[in-house]
Amino acid sequence: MIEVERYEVVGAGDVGAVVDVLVGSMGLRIDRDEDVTRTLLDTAAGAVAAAGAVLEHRLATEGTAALVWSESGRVLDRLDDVPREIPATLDGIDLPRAASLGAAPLVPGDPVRSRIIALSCVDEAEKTTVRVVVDRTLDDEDRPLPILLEVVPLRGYRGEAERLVGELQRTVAIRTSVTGSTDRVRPMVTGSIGPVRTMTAAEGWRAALRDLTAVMSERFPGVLRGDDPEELHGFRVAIRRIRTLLRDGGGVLSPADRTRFRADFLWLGDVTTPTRDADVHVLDHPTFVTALPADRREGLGPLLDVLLAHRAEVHAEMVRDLRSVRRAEFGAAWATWLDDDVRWAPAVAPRAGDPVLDVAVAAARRACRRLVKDGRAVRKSSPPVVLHDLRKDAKRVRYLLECFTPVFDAASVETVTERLRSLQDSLGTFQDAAVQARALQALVDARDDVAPETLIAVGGVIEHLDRVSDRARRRVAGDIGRFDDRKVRRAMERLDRTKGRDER
Amino acid sequence: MKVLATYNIKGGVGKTASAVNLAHVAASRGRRVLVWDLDPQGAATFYFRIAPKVKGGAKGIVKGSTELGDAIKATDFENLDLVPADFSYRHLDLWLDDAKRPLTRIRRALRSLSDEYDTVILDCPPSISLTSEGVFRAADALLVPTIPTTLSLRTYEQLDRFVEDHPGMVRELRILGFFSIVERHRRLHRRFMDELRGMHPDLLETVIPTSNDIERMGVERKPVGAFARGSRSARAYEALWAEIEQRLATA
Repeated sequence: MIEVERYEVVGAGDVGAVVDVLVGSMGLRIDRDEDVTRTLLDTAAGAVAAAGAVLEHRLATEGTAALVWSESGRVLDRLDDVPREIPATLDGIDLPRAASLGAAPLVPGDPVRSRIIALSCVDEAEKTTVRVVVDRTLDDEDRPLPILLEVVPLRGYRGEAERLVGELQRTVAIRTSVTGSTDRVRPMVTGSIGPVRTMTAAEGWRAALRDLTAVMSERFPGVLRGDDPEELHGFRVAIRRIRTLLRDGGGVLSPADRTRFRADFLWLGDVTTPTRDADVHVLDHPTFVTALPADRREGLGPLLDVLLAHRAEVHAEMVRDLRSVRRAEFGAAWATWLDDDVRWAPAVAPRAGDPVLDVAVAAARRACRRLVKDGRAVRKSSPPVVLHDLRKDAKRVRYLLECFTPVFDAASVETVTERLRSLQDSLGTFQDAAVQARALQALVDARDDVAPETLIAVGGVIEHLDRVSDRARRRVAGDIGRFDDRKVRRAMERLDRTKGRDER
Repeated sequence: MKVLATYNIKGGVGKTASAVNLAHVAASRGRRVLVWDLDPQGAATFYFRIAPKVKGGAKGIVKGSTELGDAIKATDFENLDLVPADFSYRHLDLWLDDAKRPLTRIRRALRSLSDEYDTVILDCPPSISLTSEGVFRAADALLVPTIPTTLSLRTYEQLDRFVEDHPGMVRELRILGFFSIVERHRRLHRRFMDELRGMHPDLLETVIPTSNDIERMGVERKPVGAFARGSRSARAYEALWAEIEQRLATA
């Protein structure tokens, strides 16, 4: 599929003036002009978002309503004259691309108000060659967001789209935008539906995975926008937690599904890593500056530009991956799997029907034993990869404890987590500093336009990072010792303490 | 990717209308559809308002110097693309005759698109020629619109015999015949339909009636469903597509 090109009108902008240019000067035809309240709809498990799609209920000011299904910014399905009320399900509604949702309950998001104008560029036979969408959306306080212009080239008419964009750039002040009209509808507000003690292992795993999928769906628009690093961070944490649950879901999930989705989430994590690394560089820039002697700080000024440019590049690449067919197909398969009762039946795996508490406790204890064993093997001379693996062990324990917190004994979780946090901090600082030092070196090495004073300043930053990394490494041994003690062991033994109480 | 071909040795039976309308229904049901207009008259291309021109012409596609993908044009409908007709298709048989392994050329040209489309519909010219034999090789099923008249019945049987007589050439090919341009109020149409159904119980149940809406396609230059959604003919094509999908699923 040819990608939609997105632009933002610079400055306040006037929709009328933009449309006048498109229609008056460039000869486009208005197909639809609507003033609407848009409400995002999705299932609790985020089936629509997971499929890389957006489902909107659009209520026009004149009272008519439509359901609109878009993928990769293209409207693929539109059903007009639907009831004004937001549907509870799509059961009985003829929206073919949403057929897989069946009678799944829909959760509405927060409504936003937009004016959306769809235009076409047509040739002499009145055949559409390019589509253009103009979007003016209001924020929470009814202030207009920048006008978005989406150019939708049609296959075989690339030249026409390029000509149109060229003309647009000459007549309207625009800049490229990574987000589009469908990213402006707000995600649903989901309540936690996490695991509870009365569940079977399959039910508990499913509830935890649904919760994490909902987090990913909520974060997804922010990840695409890229204006808040926390959105990507939260998105990635959810991915890692899902990976942990898949890894430790042997005996609970069907082996084929588990293998397939482990590979998919590994890929998803990998495509987001360069952007997260770049975010960390940009966020840490002020720290780099203060770490240098005052007379060398000025040299770091141009480094921020380099970091920002690199960040924009890798973010654009990530957005392409997140809008790819692979991501859409895997998302759809994931949502279908989560919603398919048959694939969560007790018979799919030997421990699927066991109490979630038993299986989750066993998984957490197994992960903890591994962490302790690997921690005891760490030496002063251990290579960084050993510490990196230890960090992964620690995350695994932490994620299992957090995903099943409502199931475990709360006080025991708190005890283990508190010791774990300190170990994770040291391991994280060690690894982040080492990775940053290498990445900074690679970044300046790859460019031949870096000024000598900047090179010197970057050298200073790398020295600083090496010192940070060394200090963190020295702390690791103590943190391992504090974790590998009786208090933590006892807490791990008491994780299922509530079970005993319930049974009495 | 399923390859279907609207085909009949006889002209004027509703091949192109079927190709265009079925493609539109399939695309609106979420399928990624490509129509390849192999008829040099270019009626399907006309219905989609696309210029009947392929760079490099039929020769380029047959020789492989033009990638079929480069010839594709999007229609005005999402998920529905077209390889336009080109006047040079009138020489398609000659180019195929010159080529090595001519019968597999169409299939090979389509192979590169298998990831991009779920359904390909070949709109064929009315003849039995090298081109049609290449279509038989490429297609999973032939959709054969048939008017319930004596001549149409004869041609349907000719086709059936041809397929039976060439088991090597048309392995796996399914013949999905259906009645088209039917005037139900005519006793003769009803009688012919009953007769042919008696002889060929495999014929599809859905019947495409004669209708002004289908004739209006030439004026509107759109599939029926795009300008007369919910009309009798639009509903008939929807039912026909559902039946075809069901038959293919049980293949």
